[in-house]
Amino acid sequence: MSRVADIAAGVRAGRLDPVALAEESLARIAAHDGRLHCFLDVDAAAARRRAEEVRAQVRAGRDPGRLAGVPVAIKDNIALQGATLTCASRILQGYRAPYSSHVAERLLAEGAVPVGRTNMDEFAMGASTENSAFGPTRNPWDTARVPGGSSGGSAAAVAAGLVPLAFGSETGGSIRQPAALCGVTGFKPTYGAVSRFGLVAFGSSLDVIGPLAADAADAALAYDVIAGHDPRDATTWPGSRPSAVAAERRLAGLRVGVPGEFLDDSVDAEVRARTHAALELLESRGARVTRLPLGRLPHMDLSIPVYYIVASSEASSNLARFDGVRYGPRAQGVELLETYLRTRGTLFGPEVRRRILLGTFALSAGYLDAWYKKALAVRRLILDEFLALFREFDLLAGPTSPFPAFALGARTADPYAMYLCDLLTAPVCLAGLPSVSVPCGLARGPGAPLPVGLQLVGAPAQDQRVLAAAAAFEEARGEPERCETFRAGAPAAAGGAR
Amino acid sequence: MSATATRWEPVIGLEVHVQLATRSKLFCRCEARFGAQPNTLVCPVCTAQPGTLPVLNAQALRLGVLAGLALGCEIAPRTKFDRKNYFYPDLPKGYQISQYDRPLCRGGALDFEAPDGASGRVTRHVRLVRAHLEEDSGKIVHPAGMDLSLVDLNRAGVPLLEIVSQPELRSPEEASAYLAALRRTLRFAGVSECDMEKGSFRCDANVSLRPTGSSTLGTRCEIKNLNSFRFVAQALAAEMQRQAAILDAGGRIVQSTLAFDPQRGRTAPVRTKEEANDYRYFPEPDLPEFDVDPAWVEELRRTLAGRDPAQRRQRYVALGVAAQHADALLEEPERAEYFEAALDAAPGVPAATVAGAVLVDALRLANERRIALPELAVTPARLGELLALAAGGALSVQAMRTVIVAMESRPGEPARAVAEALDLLQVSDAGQLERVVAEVLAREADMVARYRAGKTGLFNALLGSVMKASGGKANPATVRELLARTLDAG
Repeated sequence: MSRVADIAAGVRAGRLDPVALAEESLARIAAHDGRLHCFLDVDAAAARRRAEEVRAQVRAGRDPGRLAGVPVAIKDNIALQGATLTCASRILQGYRAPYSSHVAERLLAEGAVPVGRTNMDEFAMGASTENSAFGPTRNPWDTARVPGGSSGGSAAAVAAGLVPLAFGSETGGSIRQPAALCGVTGFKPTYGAVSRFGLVAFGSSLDVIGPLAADAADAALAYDVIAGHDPRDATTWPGSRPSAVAAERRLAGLRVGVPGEFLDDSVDAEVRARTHAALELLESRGARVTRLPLGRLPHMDLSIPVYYIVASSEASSNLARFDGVRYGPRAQGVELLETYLRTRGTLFGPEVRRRILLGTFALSAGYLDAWYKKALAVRRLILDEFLALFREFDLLAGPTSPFPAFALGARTADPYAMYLCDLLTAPVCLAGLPSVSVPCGLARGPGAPLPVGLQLVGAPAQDQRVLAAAAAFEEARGEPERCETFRAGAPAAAGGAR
Repeated sequence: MSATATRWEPVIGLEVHVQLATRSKLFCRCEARFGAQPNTLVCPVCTAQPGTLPVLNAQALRLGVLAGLALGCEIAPRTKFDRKNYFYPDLPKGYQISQYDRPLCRGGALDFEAPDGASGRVTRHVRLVRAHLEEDSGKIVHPAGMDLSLVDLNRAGVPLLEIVSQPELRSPEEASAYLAALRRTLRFAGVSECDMEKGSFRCDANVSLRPTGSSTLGTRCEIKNLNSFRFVAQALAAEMQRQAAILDAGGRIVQSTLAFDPQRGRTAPVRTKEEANDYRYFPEPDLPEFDVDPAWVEELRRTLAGRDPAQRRQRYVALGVAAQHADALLEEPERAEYFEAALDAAPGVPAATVAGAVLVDALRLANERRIALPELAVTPARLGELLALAAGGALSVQAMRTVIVAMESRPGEPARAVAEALDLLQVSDAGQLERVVAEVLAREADMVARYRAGKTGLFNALLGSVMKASGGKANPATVRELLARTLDAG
């Protein structure tokens, strides 16, 4: 499929038929999703109805908007009225959202056509999509490997060309890490740039919704559509956001810092090699790249424990509402306590239960000061250290994930090994900073080549600069290698709109 | 008094939950109304659908600040919300959004009169610890004869202010008086209806005993959900007896939460400290800390000026209203407001007269029609007009009472017009009355002669004749004066 802006322009001009575009996407999903399992639910009838609506708008001479006719996939933790909202959990099996999230409202208002609900780690807790209660998603580059997570379904759907644009959520790396592992561009906006209204809460002080797309220009368009103040989310900041589409794309003179902590020995050698090559490309286009020694982010090594305490504490409270009383399935017991224990004990998966227990412990009387409050104090230090770097640099750069996509099952036995997937993304989330992952080459190993992602991190509320720099990098880089496996055999591109 | 009752003295503190009189709930736009069909005042936010977020109701914050100011509290310049975590089917989110370590209001006090001894009264000054905003839970209903429980979430998310007193109350009677004073202050500040029957004023009581005269504190127990003033006093008395019996027997009080059974007049434990919840309070991440603008607080403070019932009482008494009438006027804010508006509309009429008319005539009218004072067609302005008419001598007291009843069924019509229509206006015009007096005296020449000869007792008979001749419409005071002048001149 072509790029998002081209599709929208074609639909707005009447050159492309939104119904045909939806059919094309649905056909690709029908052809390939049995193998990939990017989607938890595909409502073809709803997608067709929506596409017809957009077509009717065009025919009536009305402008459907900046995403006119663009088929989009939405992670199954972002509410779209009438659609499933399972968070890949059995505790929400069969649940349909009675209202739409701010992001879904914005997408519909700009003409997008939602085609399906993407797979994820249960309640976004995981980095491989293996924690989905409904089975994992597979990486299109190598179906024996994970797509990353938790937005693995969204990343794989874009990578396989099933949709041109998808939306995910990030708490500790859940957009950028699967984007990196699947070879697509994923953007995590500044905390508070995009409304969380309608995003099922995991770690409320960290959660952000963002796009996954073929490139940074598409991500910028998607960001422009979804970002903005929402009175229903008191943590969004007021006022408008500078357009990322309109931001100047220039690498010359850009001050890029590369913290030593981003590229230490724990990072895979191939990943380091591709990252260094990307940094050299930036330099060759006039960016002033400074490779910093270790010590500028002295508390970054505490990010994983701090992240897991803060996010799990908030999650332990956020997930209390799933009690089987008002919605979702209930495992009935004889008494109230037994009903709670059975519902929550059997319908939450093991990783979700682990984090609820961890968070409950960290908030308990007598432990609050030692764990939760201390974690908040370290979080503040990490933010301050980042802010100090932004007094010297416009952007920070480094690899997104310490390693490329790993084999299904390789890390499931050891939770901590899985948690290390967030090593380079979690600190950025703790600081609430905008950050993008862009494909920067392939890691060569014994098996299939695997994508590597370069992450660029900006100062708070500098989302448009981060996306513009990513777009400039992509222009310098040229077309990246695409995963072609699932592009063959799909129907021809959508025809004219008449 | 028993020996036990004098050996131990109670230390009582009260926690009162007051429902703030907002139209909508604390964190969503659902109506905060009592008495609707179950689960009809709900939305995705207050039923805790996944993905929903709270948005603070500015009106609730405003009423919270007003309440704090009315109670003399210090308003926090910066405050925040916290989550109180526990599981119960009436708590949709699995946590209550409340305020933990930075309440909206701190300090403050309540001054009130309480019974002292057998018949005396004493003025008490009880300090407050704090007052904070929080959301109400839903309600669990156990339908009779069915083996299930139902949850009604209409109340879930309704704004409450929890007001915590220092443990400075010294008897159940004082506790009752404190509650009455608190209720009155809040109602006059316009922040809550404080209607116990509708659950908008609920009380938990903490009580411990200590040896009389001691300054140590004993182990306290908390009695939950006392929903009438009478039950508060009864429950405290029962709990004091229970604790005294244990202490007298050399026992030890176990810190616990109790419920009061009004039928048996007894308190019974619900749970002990060992079973107490760990609420895992932490800052609500969905609602950032916020500043409370001091200029706005001062503006609110100004709107409260003159509304305090104690200040109003002083003012009424200074205007000549009897103390007991002042108290009666201050039983209900609407009564006091009606009185003050009528007073404004009746220049020159003594405040005591206006008070009497409100307490006797207006209230009787409202009671007979089973409506509230503000709903009367006889508005304070019309009552004031009527009273001014009467004070000018145009109406007798009896006629005034007839007119006010008629006015109620003739909304909008001026008092004078109603009195005229009923032909009840008194004649006070001296020229007109002089003619009547002259006529009567001419007719009763015999009586006049006897009067002038010293039979002064005939004055009243002559007065009666003049009144009769005027058809009862003459102003008796004017007639008396004219008659005296004419007779004594002759």
